[in-house]
Amino acid sequence: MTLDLNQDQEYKYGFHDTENYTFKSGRGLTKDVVLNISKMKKEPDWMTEFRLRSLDIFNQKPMPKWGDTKLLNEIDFENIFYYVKPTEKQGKTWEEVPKDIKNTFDRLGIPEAERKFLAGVSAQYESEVIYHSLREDLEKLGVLFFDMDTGLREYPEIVKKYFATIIPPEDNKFAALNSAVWSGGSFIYVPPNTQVEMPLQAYFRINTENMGQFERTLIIADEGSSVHYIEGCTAPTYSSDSLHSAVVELIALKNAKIRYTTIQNWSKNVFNLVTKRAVAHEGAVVEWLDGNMGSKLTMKYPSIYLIGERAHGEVVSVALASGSDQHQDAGAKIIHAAPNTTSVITSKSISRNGGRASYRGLLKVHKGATGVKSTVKCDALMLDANSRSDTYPTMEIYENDVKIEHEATVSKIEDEKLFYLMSRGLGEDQAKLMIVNGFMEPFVKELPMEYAVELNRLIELEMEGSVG
Amino acid sequence: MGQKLAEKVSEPQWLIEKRKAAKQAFEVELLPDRVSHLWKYTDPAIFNPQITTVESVSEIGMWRYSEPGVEVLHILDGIKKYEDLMREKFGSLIDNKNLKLSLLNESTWVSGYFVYIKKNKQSDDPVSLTMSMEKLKSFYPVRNFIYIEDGVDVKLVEQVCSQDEILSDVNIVTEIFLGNGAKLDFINLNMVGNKINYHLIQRANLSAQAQLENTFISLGGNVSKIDSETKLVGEHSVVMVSGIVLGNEKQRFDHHITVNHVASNTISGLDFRVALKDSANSAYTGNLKIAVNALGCDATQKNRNLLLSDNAKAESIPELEILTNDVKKCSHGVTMGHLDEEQIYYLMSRGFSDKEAEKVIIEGFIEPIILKIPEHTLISGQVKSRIEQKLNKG
Repeated sequence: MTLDLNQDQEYKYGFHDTENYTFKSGRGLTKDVVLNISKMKKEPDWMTEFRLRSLDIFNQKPMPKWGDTKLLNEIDFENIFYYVKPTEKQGKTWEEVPKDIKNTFDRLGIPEAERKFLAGVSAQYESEVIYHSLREDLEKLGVLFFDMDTGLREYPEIVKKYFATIIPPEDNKFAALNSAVWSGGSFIYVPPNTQVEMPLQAYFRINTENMGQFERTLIIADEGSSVHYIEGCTAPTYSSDSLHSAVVELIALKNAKIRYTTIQNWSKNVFNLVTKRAVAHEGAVVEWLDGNMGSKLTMKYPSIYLIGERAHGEVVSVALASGSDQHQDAGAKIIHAAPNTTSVITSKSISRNGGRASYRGLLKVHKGATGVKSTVKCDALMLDANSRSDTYPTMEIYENDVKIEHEATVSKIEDEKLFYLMSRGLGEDQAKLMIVNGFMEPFVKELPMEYAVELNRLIELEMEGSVG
Repeated sequence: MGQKLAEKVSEPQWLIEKRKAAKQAFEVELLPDRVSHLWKYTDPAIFNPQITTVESVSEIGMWRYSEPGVEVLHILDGIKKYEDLMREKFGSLIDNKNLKLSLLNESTWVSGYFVYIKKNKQSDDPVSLTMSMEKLKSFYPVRNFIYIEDGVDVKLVEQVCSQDEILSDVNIVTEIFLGNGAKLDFINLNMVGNKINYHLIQRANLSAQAQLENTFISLGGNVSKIDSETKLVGEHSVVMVSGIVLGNEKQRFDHHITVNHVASNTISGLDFRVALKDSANSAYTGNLKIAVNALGCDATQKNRNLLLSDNAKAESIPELEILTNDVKKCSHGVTMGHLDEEQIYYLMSRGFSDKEAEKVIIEGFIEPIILKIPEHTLISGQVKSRIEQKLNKG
């Protein structure tokens, strides 16, 4: 098989449908825009006030001085739509979902996925969740799985109790922005001692040029419960830049377990600046599985605050930076604030075709958090000479009774490995693909099968053009 | 201030101009921001002293060499004697990274060493550069210039010291040039009293096949900051950085080590060991860069932290910035932890008290780096007794 080395891979899901919106806020961010969003959603006063306070914080906070500041400063906040509402009512069943939107999801393969294994589909098309189905057995269990707007409307007391308690708007400029204009996202509450066997899933998609997506997700796993949430996103390719700035808060109460899986495949014009954070109470387990394949610039550091004894946190992240117009600045943060807590961070990054992959992480042990054990491992694979790999790990250890290990390696595809595989009859491109797949294995093996298959296909697609 | 001193010792016109420009720039330059990891953990304002009495490091400590091929002079004498060389090279390694504090040095320095090692060097004895501070409430701006000719092999020990009660500030800038195939075994020894704020900017430039063993032994100081960068500009050049920090009481250490692989087939290694007692704390920040055109490089970093008390604190940010895939090996590792209880138990079962066992383990931890100090010298004795004193206290 011969491959064209310069062949540019067309974006896999780079189709888009004609826009059909009932409401589109003007470009730019003002107090009126924020008030309008809140009014349109008929929100309680406390939420309106929260949004306005967040807007003030957003305006006061300077842009970050760290990370890829050159790219960050390209964001033109005045040239973004902050709210787009696709249709008036939310579809109750799949049949009620508007046809053009359904077409888009058909092409993403959602119906099959649902038939096969999904417990509920919360499909975010534009800024609001328009389709949401909960299977009966979930309802019987008492699990709440809604889009965030519905969650706020129907369970205001739970939302008010937890909303923005993990990520306050003061946290960073982009969290403040999200807090001011958020729309959509998922709200999940799992009652005590309830195990949700099947993963809950939501698809996200940006469809209007220059339109921001500011979804807000809140997951609460009550004592002794467990849940796995999957978020995957693809977006049509557009010419001018889009901003995606989500806030995701996870709360794992005593002995609860939350696993949150993301596969991000935004098209190459999207700024993906996301704040994701979890707290794990006594004996709780939180796992972030984070795959970054797309976007122009991703800055995302899923974090876990281990605040109860024996809590465990784990982050497995992979990043593929492909092409000189792509920078994956991803990583993980783990804060040990209680004794005998443990954590593992595994980061895998691949850079090719001039792409830049950065790992940026924090491991912090507070005083009094005795008996902490933590391992941080970062591996980077570089496929050609003009790509770039950075590792920015930070360790702040304020307790002596700890055991911390950190390791990082940067390497290329070794000639010996290639030679070995080729001596067994594989072509060079197949051999390289096999090595890359092996490198990604620790992440891929944790995914549900459908996702693993899709991800492998994606890697294969990305790798054509670079091997051969 | 710089102007006045310059006139007194009749500095060449170009140097006077240089100081003047530095002084003007210093006055408008702001202190570095705390965003980048260079100043994340220590406030740079500590090293911008309000003390106006500028002092020279003591002449008593200076050893003058008259043997062939080894020229060790007061920095000003060196500038006058080798004016052409100095006009070209002096200050050429100082970058903008730590601008405020390097400008402070440039405009005010009054003492320091000029070291020129030539091809006709005969003796293999280590060259000792001692800087001693004796006055209270003074500011010591020190400037060193080290130039090693092609193919020369030499050992230098830079020792900074003071009596315990001296409360002063020191700002040292050291430039090191290694010619083709030159080999330098360099030790920076911080033995100042625990009241001194110690700031060192060290820049080294390695030509082809040059080899630098760069060792930091940090024992003294109230707040001690080292900002070191080695540039591997010649192919097949090698730098091995080793360091130990032994902190006790309320000492604060902050080491920033950058290794910049500019040329192909260059090698670097780093072994940095930190042991902290009492309320001592340490930040280690590293930056390992491999440039786009630097192919076939080999780089490793290892940072080990031993936290010996409940109040000790350690921070570590070992960064990697790799701009090419053609790397032989590039890795780093960090460990943090307390003393291994099994090791203590083992030693106690052999008749050691717990205190003795702890001491033996710490000595073992720092020993590989202490061994780099030339044995049976005045310095090695001083270092050993200082370590002993630190380990026995408290």
